[in-house]
Amino acid sequence: MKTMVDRKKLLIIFALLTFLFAVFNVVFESRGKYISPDDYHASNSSGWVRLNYQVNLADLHGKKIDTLKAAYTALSSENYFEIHNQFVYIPFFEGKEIFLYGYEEGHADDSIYQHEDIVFSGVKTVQLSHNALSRFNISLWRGEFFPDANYQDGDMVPILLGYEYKGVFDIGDELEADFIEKLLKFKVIGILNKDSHIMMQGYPLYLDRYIVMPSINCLYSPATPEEDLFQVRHYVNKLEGWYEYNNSSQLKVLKNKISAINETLPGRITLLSLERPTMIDSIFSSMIILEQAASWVSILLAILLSVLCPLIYFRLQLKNLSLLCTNVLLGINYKNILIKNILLFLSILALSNLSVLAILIMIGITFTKWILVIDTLAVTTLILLNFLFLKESNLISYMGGLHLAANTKHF
Amino acid sequence: MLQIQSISKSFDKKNIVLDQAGMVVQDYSKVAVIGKSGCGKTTLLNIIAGLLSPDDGEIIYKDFSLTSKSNSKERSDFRFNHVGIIPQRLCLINEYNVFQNIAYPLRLKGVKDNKFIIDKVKDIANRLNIAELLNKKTSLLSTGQCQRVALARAIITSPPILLADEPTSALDSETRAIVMSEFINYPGTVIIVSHDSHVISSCQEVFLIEDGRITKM
Ligand SMILES: Nc1ncnc2c1ncn2[C@@H]1O[C@H](COP(=O)(O)OP(=O)(O)OP(=O)(O)O)[C@@H](O)[C@H]1O
Ligand SMILES: [Mg+2]
Repeated sequence: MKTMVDRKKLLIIFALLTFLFAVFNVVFESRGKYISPDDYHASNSSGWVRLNYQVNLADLHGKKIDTLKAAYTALSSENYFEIHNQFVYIPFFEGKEIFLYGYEEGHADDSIYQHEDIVFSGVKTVQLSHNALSRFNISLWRGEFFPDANYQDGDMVPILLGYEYKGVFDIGDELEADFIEKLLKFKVIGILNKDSHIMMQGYPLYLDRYIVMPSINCLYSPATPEEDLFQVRHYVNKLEGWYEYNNSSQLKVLKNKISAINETLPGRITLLSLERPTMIDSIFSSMIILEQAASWVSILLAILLSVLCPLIYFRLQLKNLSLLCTNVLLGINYKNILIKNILLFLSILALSNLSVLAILIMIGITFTKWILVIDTLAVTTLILLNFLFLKESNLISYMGGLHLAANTKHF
Repeated sequence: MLQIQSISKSFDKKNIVLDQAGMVVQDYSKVAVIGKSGCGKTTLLNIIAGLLSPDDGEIIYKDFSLTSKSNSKERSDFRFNHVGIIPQRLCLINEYNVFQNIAYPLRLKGVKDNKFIIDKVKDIANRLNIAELLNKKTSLLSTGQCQRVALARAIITSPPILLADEPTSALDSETRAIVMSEFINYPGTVIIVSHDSHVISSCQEVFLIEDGRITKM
């Protein structure tokens, strides 16, 4: 009976540790992510912050476009960078699939749609403010940069193309594009050098397959509801820029500005911290689906999984003990028994892991890298425990009447 | 002839269980092994069955031999082909019923003929007086009933060597007689570890384990 108690204790400790680990990570994860400007304390005296504007669009259009523009003017400075990743729809696009939005993620097909005999393709595009181009040392292979410091809406929009567009379009070519449901005319004025990139959230965004357009400013007030909707959406984006600060007083100025703006606007602008990516971040960055909603469900599932799996497995293992012993007794090689057991165990675990992940993705819940870390940790621990438990000598002692517990040496 | 030649086994330096112990068992003979609790009877059976490796010495049966150098595959092959065991803790599979437990070794040996298996199990169960238990889960049986199920499981493949570790400890005298006649008439070598004087007296030879040595009585 002693072993049962010992094993139970072991399981409880294991479960507790997993739980603490999970809680720790939740706390750790949520720290410094979405913080109101008043509470935002930068750990370094220089760095980047991103503005995040949470608002219901319905509260904005029809009456607020001037306030939005005023807020934008108040924010804009040499340290305020606009880097937006908003694709445009181009009718009868002649380029290859690699230029389509979602190509790298494998769903380029989703960005093509047909409307009254016209095929529109969603083409990857970034919108940059003028200072962003020089901030990231982007250089030209051919052609020239945008002429004005800030491009004004109304005329032909000059665009730059990534290096892989070479041979697809040429300087001087004109295109039509649907940019957040507003029809614009593009004119190619330059092609970027190979491997030109900007940094977004600590990761490089290579522009080789992108169209680069200026983040346009709309000078006139909208005359139609459609135009109003466009401007509202566009300016909400423009308010979600990036701010580079070199000392804490600059950050303080920004915070004050944001607080003042929050007084005048519906919704709320908050700051997102942008820490340098860690190793784990880079490894998992491709798997992480960032979402604001707290991923409590996924965390709960992960905890359940990491606690239930050992419990269920050891329960089964105890039940299995007589089967395993009988197999040893009847001359089945211990190694075969072990291999079979581990394979079975791994497949059970893989199945449960996969199904949990599948459920998470299906219901659109984000899972952070920590879920995977916890899971992997649980799996490795279990395999190790399995090895400890399933020693041949343990089975043989069991048959001989020596209870497993009598041989605490074995554990 | 089963020869056990100067077998030594210790679990740690202080605990020498068998010390150059030897015995010879003729084919088809029925022998008893006795000794105080903890003297190494189970250890001896485990070594003969190839469950444990001796530190020194050799087990010779026909042209097979097990030594400290035999690997686990050789040992399990020897067990698979030559040995039937009734272990002290019986090790029945609780999730299976009695029939499945008894038939299990036949299935492991790859016997597919269901009628053959059913007939064989029923025949043995009738002899051991457990025919009416065949559909019961073994977790519901008494210890004496379990001992007979373990015996049936051990003899169903008719191994030439049968090792029994205290097989009658929980039986009444009537059932013990049934079981003993099964051992005495078994067409192979039988080694029984027992404290039971009835069992000992029905064996042809008795070996005593004392201070790591085996002596013939
Ligand atoms: N796996 C093991 N590890 C360590 N010591 C062991 C192991 N198996 C047996 N022993 C020790 O070896 C000695 C002999 O044990 P064994 O089980 O052979 O005794 P036994 O004669 O069968 O006793 P009993 O009549 O009580 O069944 C005991 O002291 C026991 O503690
Ligand atoms: Mg014993």
